[in-house]
Amino acid sequence: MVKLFAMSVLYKGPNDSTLLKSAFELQSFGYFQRKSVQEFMGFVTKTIVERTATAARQSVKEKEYMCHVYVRADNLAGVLISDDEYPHRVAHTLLTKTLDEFSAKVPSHSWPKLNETQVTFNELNVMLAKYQNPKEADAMTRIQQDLDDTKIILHNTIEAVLERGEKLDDLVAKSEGLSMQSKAFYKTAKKTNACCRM
Amino acid sequence: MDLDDNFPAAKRIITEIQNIVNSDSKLKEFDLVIQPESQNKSPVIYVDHCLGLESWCVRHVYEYVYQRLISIRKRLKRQVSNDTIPLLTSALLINPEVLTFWNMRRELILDGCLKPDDELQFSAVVLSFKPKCAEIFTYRRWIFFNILKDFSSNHVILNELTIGLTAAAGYPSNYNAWNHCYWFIQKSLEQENYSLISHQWEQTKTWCSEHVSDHSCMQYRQRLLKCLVADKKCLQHLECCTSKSLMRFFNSDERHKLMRPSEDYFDEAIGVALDELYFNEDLIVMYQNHESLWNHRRFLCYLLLDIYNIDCIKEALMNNERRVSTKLSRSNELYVKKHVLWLQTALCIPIKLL
Repeated sequence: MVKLFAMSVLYKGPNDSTLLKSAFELQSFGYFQRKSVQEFMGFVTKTIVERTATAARQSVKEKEYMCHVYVRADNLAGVLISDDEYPHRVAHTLLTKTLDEFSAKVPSHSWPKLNETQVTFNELNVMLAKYQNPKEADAMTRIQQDLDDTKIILHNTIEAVLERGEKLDDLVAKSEGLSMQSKAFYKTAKKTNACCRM
Repeated sequence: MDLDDNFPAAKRIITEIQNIVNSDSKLKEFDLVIQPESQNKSPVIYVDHCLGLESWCVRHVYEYVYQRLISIRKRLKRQVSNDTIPLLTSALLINPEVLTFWNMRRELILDGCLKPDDELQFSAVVLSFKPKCAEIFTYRRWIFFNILKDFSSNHVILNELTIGLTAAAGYPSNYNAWNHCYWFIQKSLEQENYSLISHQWEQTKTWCSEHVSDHSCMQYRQRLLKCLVADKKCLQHLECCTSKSLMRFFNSDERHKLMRPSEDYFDEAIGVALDELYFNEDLIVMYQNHESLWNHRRFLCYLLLDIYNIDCIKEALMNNERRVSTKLSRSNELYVKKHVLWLQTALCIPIKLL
């Protein structure tokens, strides 16, 4: 499926990251799964930003999903979760554009102090809807050309992004952002070896 | 008959499910809700036309209904009774892959205990939970073929095609769903209704561009395309700009050879195939390295030569494929090589990469 599921803007502090804004499009998931899927995507977003170096790009594949991360030199970070059919280049182009627009709207000195409730940036929802069709990104060729010089690190699982000695299972168990139900959902999904089907 | 009754709540749960199924004609989804332990309340969740069952009780409920249904089925004299309906409903929602249970529902339809329209609605809900389950599709076709026996209404068949497409979106490469759609297309063609095939041709085009690695969808389009090029009547409802593709594919000399007034249909059919070839090219450019797209391309090349095996088409195809292969050789290296090799060996097209 060519699909964008979630797009988020975060600030990467020295120890952890704070979510500044996020948008989701989860209609393709079952009604009863959406809440857990959303929580889990939020969890993955935060985890991966914290494990991406400043001024770096990464793409992480996990089953049929892709998670694209871009942390800028000024520690503003963008994460896009898509299906793996969605063109990777377009995803990174989109991240660049999103962060550009965000920093134009929200002044950089306020980023370290803000949290999600204090930020108004509804353009994120608009962009998530608009760029479901990657053809819309054709107009962003300039950014795309800049991208060609940047290296994108590609990982084949989430586990590969984690630091030595870390385990995804432990992180899920410790996470405060995940409800009991989502943790159970994660365990079941893992057991049946399918991300969101049972 | 001894049936263990170690989960007394089961009867209440299946009655509750049956009541929801009966009362809500707009019920759209069923799913299991992960909940490892009983929360001391009913495990049946019903919100916003969606029905959920908490996972902790699934095993007990299923054991309860399964034992009872099998013992009913084993009796020599099978008596149909309305009491079996709630058992069947829960059993099939949880596990729709048991053909015996669907057969019991078939008998209930024949006896007039179940209404075919309600059954279409119920099986659509089951499909939302298991979108690939072949038994559900067979059951629906059985209702259409044996009970309703009416394929003339576009409205009904369009609804069925929508259900097929929704199921296809719920499970990748869902051949059963596409097969279901194709069955209805065939039925409509038998009725000499040629508008639906055009409708599907247009609709799945968008669908394909949103699911570029779904080869079942492309295979469905291949079957549609075969119908379109084989019968002139199938083309009459098609809205497409085939002439553009013809202009693009053939140079003016070649066009002159092709454009004989007596054979205008020939042009139209080849135009549809060429349209698809260009559409496929756009997708390959946008979405790199998807085998399904290249396989689809193979089919299109094969079809063109299979139906119109004349030199001028062969040459135009060779030029076109050389252009495409050269353009894509960097981004799709492996697939381009395979494609060229295949053109050389299978179609005897002496193509050389620049």
